[in-house]
Amino acid sequence: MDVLLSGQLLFAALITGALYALIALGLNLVYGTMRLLNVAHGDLVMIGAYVAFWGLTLFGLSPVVGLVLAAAAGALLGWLTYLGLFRRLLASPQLMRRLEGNSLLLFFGISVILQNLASLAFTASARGYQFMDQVYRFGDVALTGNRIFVLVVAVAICAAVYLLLRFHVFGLAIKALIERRDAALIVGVDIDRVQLAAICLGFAIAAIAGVLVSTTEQISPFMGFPFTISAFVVIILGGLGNISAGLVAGLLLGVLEVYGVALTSAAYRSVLIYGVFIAILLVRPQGLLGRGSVVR
Amino acid sequence: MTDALLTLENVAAGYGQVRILRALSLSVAPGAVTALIGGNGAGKTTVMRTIAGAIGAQAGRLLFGGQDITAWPAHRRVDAGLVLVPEGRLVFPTMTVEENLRLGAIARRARGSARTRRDEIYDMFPRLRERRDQRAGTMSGGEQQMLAIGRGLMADPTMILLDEPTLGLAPVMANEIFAIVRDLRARGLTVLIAEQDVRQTLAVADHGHVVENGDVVLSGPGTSLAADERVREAYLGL
Repeated sequence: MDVLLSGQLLFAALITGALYALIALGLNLVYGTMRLLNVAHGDLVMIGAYVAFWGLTLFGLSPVVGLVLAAAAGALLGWLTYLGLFRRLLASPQLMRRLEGNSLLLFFGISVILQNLASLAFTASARGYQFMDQVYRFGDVALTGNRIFVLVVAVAICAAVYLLLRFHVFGLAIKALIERRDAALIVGVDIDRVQLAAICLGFAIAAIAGVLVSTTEQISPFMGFPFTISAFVVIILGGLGNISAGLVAGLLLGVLEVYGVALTSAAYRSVLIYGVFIAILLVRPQGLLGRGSVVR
Repeated sequence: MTDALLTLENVAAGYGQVRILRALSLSVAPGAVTALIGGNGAGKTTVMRTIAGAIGAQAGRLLFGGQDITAWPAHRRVDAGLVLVPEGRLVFPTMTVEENLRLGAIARRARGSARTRRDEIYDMFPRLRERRDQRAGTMSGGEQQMLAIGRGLMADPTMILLDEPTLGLAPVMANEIFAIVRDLRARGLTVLIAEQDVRQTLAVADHGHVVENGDVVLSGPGTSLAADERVREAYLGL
């Protein structure tokens, strides 16, 4: 019982939750603005992780620099994906009607390609590096520097995006597109530009999350899938396309996972996450924190 | 009318395979109120949405202020001062009144003067000022219509398209909307209004077009349309 009340576990939950919130934020931006089901989202996390790893091992670049490089790589991939695949599909109302389902297949293909390209280029073996692994003590809580780094960066980026959406006119345009696409068009939102920006931002956030993951865990070409799943659980928990609820839901999933594993065992981690997923879909498909009903 | 602000020349438009307008032509004089009247499904909303660029023209030409806008995306038309207040109001329901108005001024032409214009709109619609922090979706239909018009005005339009602004509103509220239309003309705006309340609409309109089956079948000054035998029979129930 003592373990459950410890600050150590609370911080573990916060760190996991902040990372989940960050990854889901990127997915939610892409889904919310374009209704694209990006099942390759976790593979962008993987790419960000390799950017940090190779940046450090080949060029001696700190993962702090890696954050910037990964963000640029993610944004570039977003730009290519948008211009190459989705711009034309999104411009036609007929094609757009089937886009949600079709995007799932397209991204599934992209996911397979990215994983296999990565294992061809980097081999399938797990890799890791050391970064800020000295231990800091705060009262009875002991944290390695890299986990503090993860927490600080994840919270800062979530907060920055939240403030952007809340107060900046560009954020308002993203929210308008998420809430009512036809009305956004009519008031004069440049939908093409906002969509491009949302996909670049979403992909960049995923890649940044990858850098954070790589500072604390081993990385491999196939590390992405569990992140895709947890991100989908989070955005369904918060309500699809509901950005701020998604941030809360990310923290919630982190708490559920860390405390759930502490109460049972690490073997139950997947059971917990999928269990939450199925329970939400059965009981409250509009999301635990979502408003209103599901429109189908 | 050679000095029209907006001209549609043989415009065809529709949704997918369904063509609603085949070759519609009409023009709108600057500084005046022009009415589109016609029954349900006549194509009035399609005309409005095609002018705003929410749906593309499949054939024909649209001219606004002397420029060919046929291929322009919707946001570019808003930036040129051509703004639609859509049927069904389409406010952003979970956003506040204030956020809705801010979004109305998202066009480049409107951003600089957004604050002063917002205050003007609050003076014009005091009820919106009272409810500035309320979520738009929780307001009554009439208040949402005022918000939709206010949001349209935030773009600093030279021409405003009002699509069925009194649809579903109580008569008192509908009268208020027609008073606003008069006020907009007095401020020098060009107004194109599509309405099913033909009597009141023709009373405020300088000019009118009767739309049937996706085509303009009759045009003329508002008063003479109101006196026309066909219009009286079909739309005024006389």
